[in-house]
Amino acid sequence: MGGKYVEKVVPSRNLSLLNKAKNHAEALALGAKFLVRPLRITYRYPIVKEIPDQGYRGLIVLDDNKCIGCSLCARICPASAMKMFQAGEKKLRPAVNYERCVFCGYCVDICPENALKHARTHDVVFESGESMLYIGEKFTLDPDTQILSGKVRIYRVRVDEKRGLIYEPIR
Amino acid sequence: MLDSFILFIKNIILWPPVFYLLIAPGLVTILISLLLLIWAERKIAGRIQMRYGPLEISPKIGGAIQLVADLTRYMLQEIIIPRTVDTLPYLIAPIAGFIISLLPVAAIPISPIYFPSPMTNSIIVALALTTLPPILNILAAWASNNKFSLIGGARESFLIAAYELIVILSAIGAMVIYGTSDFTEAVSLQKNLWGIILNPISAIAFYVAVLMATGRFPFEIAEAEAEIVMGAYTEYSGLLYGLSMGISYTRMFVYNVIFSLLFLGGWQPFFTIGGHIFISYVLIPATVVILKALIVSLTMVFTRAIYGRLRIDQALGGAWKFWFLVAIVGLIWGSALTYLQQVI
Ligand code: SF4
Ligand code: SF4
Repeated sequence: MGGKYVEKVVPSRNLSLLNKAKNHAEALALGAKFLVRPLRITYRYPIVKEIPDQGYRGLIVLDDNKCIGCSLCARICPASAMKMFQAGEKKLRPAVNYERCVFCGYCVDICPENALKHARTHDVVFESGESMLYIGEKFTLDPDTQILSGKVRIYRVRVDEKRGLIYEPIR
Repeated sequence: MLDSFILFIKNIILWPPVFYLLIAPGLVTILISLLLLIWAERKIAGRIQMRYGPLEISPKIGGAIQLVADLTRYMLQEIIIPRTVDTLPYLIAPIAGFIISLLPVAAIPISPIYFPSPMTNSIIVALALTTLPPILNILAAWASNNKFSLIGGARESFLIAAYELIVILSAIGAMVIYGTSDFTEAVSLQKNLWGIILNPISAIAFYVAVLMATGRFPFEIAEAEAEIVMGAYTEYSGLLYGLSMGISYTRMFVYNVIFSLLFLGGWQPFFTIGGHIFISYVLIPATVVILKALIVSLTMVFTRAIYGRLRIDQALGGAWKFWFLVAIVGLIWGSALTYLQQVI
């Protein structure tokens, strides 16, 4: 079966001189409008932060008091990022390795005691492989509290019909 | 001893050739306006394309000194000279190109009585000098021994043939009206009515030809980044690259000084402050001319955010089939005006 030959030439629009001049003027006017009243869809990242809505799958935080050490989270983890560790006598606690985690959220879903939850942020930088392992105390700190304090302005994203994404300040 | 030395230095700096080439509208002014123009270009494009543009270096003043940071980086960067280039022309091309693109300043007066070199045909000399830098561009393309450079150089040489004629014809369209080829006289004749009102056709043709000559959008064909990396300057790095980037902006600024002298009334409105000869005959007219040139340049960098890049055949077709005719119509219009003035 041979393919069908398709002429891929766009026919010239043959605009008259007046129409061309009008189109140029329109383009320039549109540019001038945006120059005077810019509609920015980007935000100044390190100074301004975007906080996603509820249900965002960010970093994982463990509530140590709720956890019963059942190991379900470690078993469900498809990337083998969650592992159980001995924490004191007869006490198992999970730890997560962000080198492997794919942020699928299975561990949060399966936990019978709601001991795991997603933080609403993703913004972490690791300097070494060891620092990517969140174990013990480190796993129970909520990164949101660190980010929401400090001198950042928090924005929330909203979908607008005319402009696409809009960032609205919520603080 | 010290006093006489200071007087000596002052005399040297205020000697017109040195003052023109070094201070205004020469090196210092052009470097400052370069910083301003490139920053404005990025900022305008940013605003129109729904982003911020440069901001991080100095958030308080909108990132205005971003270009200083860029320049510092270029100066500290290693200049890599590829093994296959013709070293001498490769090194000469951007340096000489930058200097030569400044050269028309030697024939452009920015004040009625204080000019770089007294001559009666300064418009022709200035226009002749503006045609030199593209040759260095082609030299850089040839010496780089790289196919992107070669394509860029070939495109540039096609474009020269198209725009040079339009620039000169539309300048003649203005010269015919003034009946002189001297900038000083042409400006003094525009005391009441600027050239852009007398001959708008030539002014538009000149403007578009300058867009084409200095690689502004939509005629940024010779350095089309998405197609041929950086055109003739693909192989350059470090300070040489910085210089080669500056060439087109310098040319644009010089062309716009010519434009504002020919069509925008030069240093008109001209006024003097009694008792201050230097201020009233040098500083004020120079500021007026440079401000006009800067405003025209700003409208030129504004096009970057609006137009796409034309293909080379579209640009050449437009230049030869349309703008060339417009320039000739402007010339005829200018001649007709002069003829009518003589008859009536
Ligand atoms: S989010 Fe998914 S990959 Fe990450 S630890 Fe939980 S189950 Fe494993
Ligand atoms: S599933 Fe929940 S309760 Fe069970 S070990 Fe994991 S975190 Fe603890």
